[in-house]
Amino acid sequence: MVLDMNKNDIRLIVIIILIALIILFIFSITKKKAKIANVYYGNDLILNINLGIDKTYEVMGENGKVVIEVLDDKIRVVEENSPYHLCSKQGFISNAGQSIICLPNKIIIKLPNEDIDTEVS
Amino acid sequence: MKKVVLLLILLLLTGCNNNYYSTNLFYMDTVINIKIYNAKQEKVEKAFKEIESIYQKYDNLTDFYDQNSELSKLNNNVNINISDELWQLIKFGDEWYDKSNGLLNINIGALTKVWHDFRENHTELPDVKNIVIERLNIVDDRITNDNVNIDLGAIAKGYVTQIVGEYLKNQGLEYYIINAGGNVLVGKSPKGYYNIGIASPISDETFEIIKGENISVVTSGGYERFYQYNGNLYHHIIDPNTKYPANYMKSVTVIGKNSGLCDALSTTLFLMDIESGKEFIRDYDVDVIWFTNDDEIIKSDGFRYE
Repeated sequence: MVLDMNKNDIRLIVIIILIALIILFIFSITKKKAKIANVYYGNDLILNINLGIDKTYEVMGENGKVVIEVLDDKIRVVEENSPYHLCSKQGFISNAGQSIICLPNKIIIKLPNEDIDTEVS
Repeated sequence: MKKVVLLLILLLLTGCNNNYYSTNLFYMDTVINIKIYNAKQEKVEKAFKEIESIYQKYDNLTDFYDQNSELSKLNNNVNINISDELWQLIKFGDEWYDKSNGLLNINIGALTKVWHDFRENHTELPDVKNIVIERLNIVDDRITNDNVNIDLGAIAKGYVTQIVGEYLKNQGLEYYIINAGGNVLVGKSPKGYYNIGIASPISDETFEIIKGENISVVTSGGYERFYQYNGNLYHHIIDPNTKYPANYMKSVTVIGKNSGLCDALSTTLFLMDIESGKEFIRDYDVDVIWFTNDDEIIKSDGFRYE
């Protein structure tokens, strides 16, 4: 196969490698903003949220209603019933890999990050 | 030409073919996420049920703040008979007293309870001077102290996670990720390694990514559960010498083979200064990352996960 390559092939390979390097460079200097959020109740994926649309959502958690707000590509919990309100105090998140966990409500909001398989926190 | 394009398309396709099953469990005061790759659904579902029963069992055995847990009953009356599971865990914890030169003392419950109540109830700073912390006395497989107040919070999650990892391996489910909060254990990876992010103690980002398989990564830090009082942060890892929350660093991460060891070791390292920690780990086959109070990142000598 290598012997079959002509100038055009080599040109194409060089171009593809260059494009790949440029994309890699752009990814490495920009923090990845999440485009979607997955909302889980326990194990069940109950909501897929598009972070591009400003909107308020209501889901049911262990202790009742959990209100989630999307604003300017960011997401937060604005209302929930729990002893310390840790997840509404957390505020907005927007970077891929971040999550909001409402332990008493068993509600998890995850911004998927394809680069990381799991995170120690 | 066509061959080259075809080859590139094939390369792209192989990059995104990682099917896994995932479950979230809510035990031991945290979310435990488990992913299993390369396996049949029935087998995974059976494994998820068994894993849930393991975490649930140990939660019921070791919950320090549940009056009905076996540990609470033992703390109320040291003479009761306890299950072998709880006994083995207590013995594992007690061995760490010697290994850590007394820094990791599971009989520290009287102290952790006072600080816990302070953080939760936002009271005045507690007076801890007069709280006496003894070592457990174990003679012929029996505790001989008159009273005990055992808190297994520093070791239980890692210990149980290791049991779960071994269960999965025995089931032939070798491709897995177990993430129990600050406690990660991974098996083999379909792509040869996992990217394991380590959360920064000062921002919402990961400050380091560990690439590896068949490893455990455990972080201890005071940044997740704390209470701010008069400008100081009071967290949950208590130094038995000062009787106050330890203040040597912002977080420490241990990478090793065994999750039980990594968990106990990360707590121990959190309770000593970084120079002493570097000396201390010479006896162990682990790699360590310290996040200092000045926000510097220090790695152990010969760090293997660059």
